[in-house]
Amino acid sequence: MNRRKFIKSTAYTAALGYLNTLPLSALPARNELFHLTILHTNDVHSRIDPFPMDGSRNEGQGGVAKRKTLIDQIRREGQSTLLLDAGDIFQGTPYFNLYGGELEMKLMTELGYDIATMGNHDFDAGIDGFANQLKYADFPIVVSNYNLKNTILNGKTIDHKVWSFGDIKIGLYGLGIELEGLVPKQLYKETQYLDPVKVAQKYERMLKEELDCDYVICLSHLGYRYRNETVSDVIIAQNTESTDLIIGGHTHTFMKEPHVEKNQKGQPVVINQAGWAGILLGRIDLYFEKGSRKMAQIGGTLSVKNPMG
Amino acid sequence: MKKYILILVVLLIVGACRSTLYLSETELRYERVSEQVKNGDEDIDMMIAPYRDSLAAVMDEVIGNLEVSLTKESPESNIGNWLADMLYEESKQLNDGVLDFAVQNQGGIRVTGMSEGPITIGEVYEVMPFDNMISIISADGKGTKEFLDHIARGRGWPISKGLSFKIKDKKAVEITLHNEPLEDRRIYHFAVPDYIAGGGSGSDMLNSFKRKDIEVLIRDAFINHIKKDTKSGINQTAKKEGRIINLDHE
Repeated sequence: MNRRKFIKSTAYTAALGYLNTLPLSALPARNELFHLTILHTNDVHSRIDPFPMDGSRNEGQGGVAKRKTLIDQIRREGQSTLLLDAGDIFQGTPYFNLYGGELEMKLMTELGYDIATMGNHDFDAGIDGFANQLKYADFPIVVSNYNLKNTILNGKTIDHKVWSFGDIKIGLYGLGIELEGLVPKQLYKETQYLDPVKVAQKYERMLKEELDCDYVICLSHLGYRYRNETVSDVIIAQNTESTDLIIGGHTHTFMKEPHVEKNQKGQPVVINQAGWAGILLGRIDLYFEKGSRKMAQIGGTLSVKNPMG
Repeated sequence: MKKYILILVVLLIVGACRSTLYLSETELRYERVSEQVKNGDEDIDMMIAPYRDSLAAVMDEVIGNLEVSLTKESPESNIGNWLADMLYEESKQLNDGVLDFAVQNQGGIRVTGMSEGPITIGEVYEVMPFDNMISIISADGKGTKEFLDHIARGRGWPISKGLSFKIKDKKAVEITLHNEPLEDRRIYHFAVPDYIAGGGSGSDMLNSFKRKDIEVLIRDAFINHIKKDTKSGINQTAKKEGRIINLDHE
């Protein structure tokens, strides 16, 4: 615990120069490391432009153009990156009402999103409305616990994804929220919701054991956690054994730091979420030590806001 | 048999050479970073520009004036009262003058507040982005109370003028409609978003009542209402007046 506190107080920029500031035992020499940065958004809700300068709480914050600048800055650091979105791409500004989500998809493509999952509001123009916008998305939509066989999305989404970076393999599966009671049936139609816990267990096993992934990510729109028994990211973490990281959404949670939950084997699972509307960009840095059993990660959120405000 | 052994040996060798990676708690590091971006990416801005311009032509139209700043709160808020009253008045007119009250679900209001001053069409879209239409529910007093209990469990939703109750032990108590208590056997007609009428946000109890859908978007009803007021020289205003009082200490 003391060690955690000590580490927390280290400035992030200093942490990036970790070789000088961290306990020597923590990380090996720089040339033996593979560095991957996971960047993520959730619940962007069609927030194309920054919030207007009208005295409201979020004025000047967010905006896709600024997010692009920030992402480019991070990519210029030179490490490998993955850019993820945890759903609710649509709904919230007139851009969606007027153009149906076309611009959101085009911009995410331009920003180089690697993958996104579906949120409940991505059904707001109907499942057909979402399917219509996929022609503008040059990145896959991953969702593992919706059976879409009898819908227009049949064959248009994927249920898992593996990226290889040299000999490091990163696996990902996606979890969507229960739609009944949240989205009118006439919008989601024959989409069949499957138990996220069972699906998570199935896919983490497949990714870890059959596809030999070194690191397993769950991209989720279930929500961070609830006071009742509703399935959430925390519950997924508690009930899995090979999932390393859960990138979440839905609850619009602004986290001071990533949450760490113990999995079935007592190992830590990191949960992170980046507020909403593109106000924050989530960031998790992974350092894989090649040929050993060590890995370190640094996480947090970066704000995307207008300093002129 | 020999074949299997050979394969097994190969697998073991591959397994041994491969980087096996895991994460241990002591190697987690966190720091929240507040990084500021001065300038947005120009290419992105150019992609947005044509959409922004044609959108602005529609959305920047000023349709009215707000005299006070509005804030979303529970169990009652000025923005909630404003919207619920507009929903009531417009729905009543669309329902041939028959309506007792209106309820707007709290989750359907998608802004944290509105600043005083001119109201644009764009702002109304931001308050109410969902394409929800008006539904009229007809329920007896007992069923109506059930729905109000649901609202109480949700720590209060916007309700229109004339209806009032208190929240005690997560139930609606001391319910009055124009200062009269609800009568169990009387039929009450109330307007709600069709999403709620269909059981959304846990409003399943409404599924058992008579429902009439009015094919008008709630957002359009608001825009219409504000425009009419402006034409008659009326500004928009709202205040909290104790429509819902929460007695539960949470």
